[in-house]
Amino acid sequence: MWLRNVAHGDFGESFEYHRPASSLILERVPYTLQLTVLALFLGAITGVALGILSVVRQYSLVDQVLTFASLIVYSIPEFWLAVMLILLFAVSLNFFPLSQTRSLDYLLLSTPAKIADRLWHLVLPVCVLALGSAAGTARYMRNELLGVLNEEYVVAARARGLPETRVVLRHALRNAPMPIVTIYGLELPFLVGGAVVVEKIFAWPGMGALAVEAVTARDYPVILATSKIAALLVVAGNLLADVMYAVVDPRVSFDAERAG
Amino acid sequence: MPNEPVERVLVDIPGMPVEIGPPVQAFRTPWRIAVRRFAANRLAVVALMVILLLSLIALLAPVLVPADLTAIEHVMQKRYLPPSWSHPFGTDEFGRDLYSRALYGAGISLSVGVLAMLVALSVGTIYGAIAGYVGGFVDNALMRALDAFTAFPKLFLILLLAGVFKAHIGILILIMGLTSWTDTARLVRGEILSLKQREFVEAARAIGLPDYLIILRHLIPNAISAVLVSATLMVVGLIGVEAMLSFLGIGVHPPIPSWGNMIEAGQDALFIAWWIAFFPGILLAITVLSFNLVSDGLRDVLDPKALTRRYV
Repeated sequence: MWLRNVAHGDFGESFEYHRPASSLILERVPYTLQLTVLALFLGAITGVALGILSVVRQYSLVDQVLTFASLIVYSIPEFWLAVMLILLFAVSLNFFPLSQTRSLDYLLLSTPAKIADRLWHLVLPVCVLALGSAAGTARYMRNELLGVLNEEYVVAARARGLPETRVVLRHALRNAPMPIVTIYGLELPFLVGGAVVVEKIFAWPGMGALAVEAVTARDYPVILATSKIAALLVVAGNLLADVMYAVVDPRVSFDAERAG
Repeated sequence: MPNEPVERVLVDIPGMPVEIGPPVQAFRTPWRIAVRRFAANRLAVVALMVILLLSLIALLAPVLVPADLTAIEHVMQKRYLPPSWSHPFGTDEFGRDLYSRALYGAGISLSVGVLAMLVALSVGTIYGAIAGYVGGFVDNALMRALDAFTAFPKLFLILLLAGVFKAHIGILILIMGLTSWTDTARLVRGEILSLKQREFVEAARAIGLPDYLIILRHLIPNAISAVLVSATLMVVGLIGVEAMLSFLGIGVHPPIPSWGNMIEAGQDALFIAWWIAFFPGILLAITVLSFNLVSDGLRDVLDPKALTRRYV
């Protein structure tokens, strides 16, 4: 009986909030989404761009600085980066807000000012998430592109006298996206489930923060609900990555007869 | 690589005079070649030394800083002191010396990471070896069970278990280890699947060696080099996870110092004492960076499929 309810998305009432766990979660989802979707796009775009830049200028100063910087950023724990950015921009410079999604006087503001206020509060958390993801993507992109650059058709393109930028963008780039697609497919759970630490630090009312609260308060219905959603997302992410393979790479086909 | 001697390849073409290279030295075992190539990667070597230094510091921490870490005295005079010669990393809200706590924390963070890795590695290796060696139905069942287990997000599971069990360090290590072995299992299974076709395994079977000895003596030692790279990466991940858990208040609990819970304490005092969160984080970043560099170096050496790359 109880299991059937769980399967139907009814997790029971939260011990702490005395409300159904599912509605509690649904209300948090938009906050997490605005944070993670922005971060993921920003991270992917800058990551891919930086990866391409360092391959086009391979072994140049730019490449070396980029590669080393991305390794360092990649190695810095996210939560410490967040704390340090807060220290720099929010505490010392008093430039960005410390936490929360909006200012105290939010309700008194005009509509454009409200939007600006929201965006202003998004900057730091999104940057923390995007930086880490950009560094990882840039590293991966560089590896993949360098691997592809040794292929014969790339050599052929060079032999035809095409400029290096064109070779990389037109010929190599098309064959590199497979692993990137995998990574982003696998990051789907993170998209909704778990910018845990960043949400906690910036007091962002998202799913991740909710999960941590639930774990520390032993609020079992909520724990259960968040874990089920997270598990579903992992499966969905894997599926999405597989489907994207077929989209990105025409050689992969789910239709056995056509593939054969 | 500038200092690497050119390896001569002798190609036997009929009618061509065979070029005789320098005498092949007897000690050029794969292992030695690997060590030499690793040593040529200076960044990786420096990183390895940093790790060794940190481990040494962690081991010697009780000797280096004999003061009682949890003792709280003269709080009002000693709290929130900025970094100085007597307190290189400053003091925290209870007037404790953060330098000593950070050194102790090194031991906690490193040993949690490494021990959890060992747990995961043993479980994963045995699981993967059995699946790969026995094959057939057992393999199928084991791998499907593994797939089901992987469908559950790892980090979430750790968070959940650590929170529910209010873990002390030993249990924390077990939780982290027992949730991280799946990649190793897959890797080992793959290696074993190809290794068990080789002649030396057939020879071992021909002389009547029992299965468990074939696995332990012949298959696992040959599969281990592939596991080594992922093991270093695993330590990186696990140290990060431990720090994160402690930061969230569900990992290593104060007063035992860990870099994660020190940073957490620092976050609360960010306005008055930046140094509390700053120094443990630097140490954490250096550790993670070093492990990443070493694992890059190892991969270049041990994975023949990887390209020879010359970047960091």
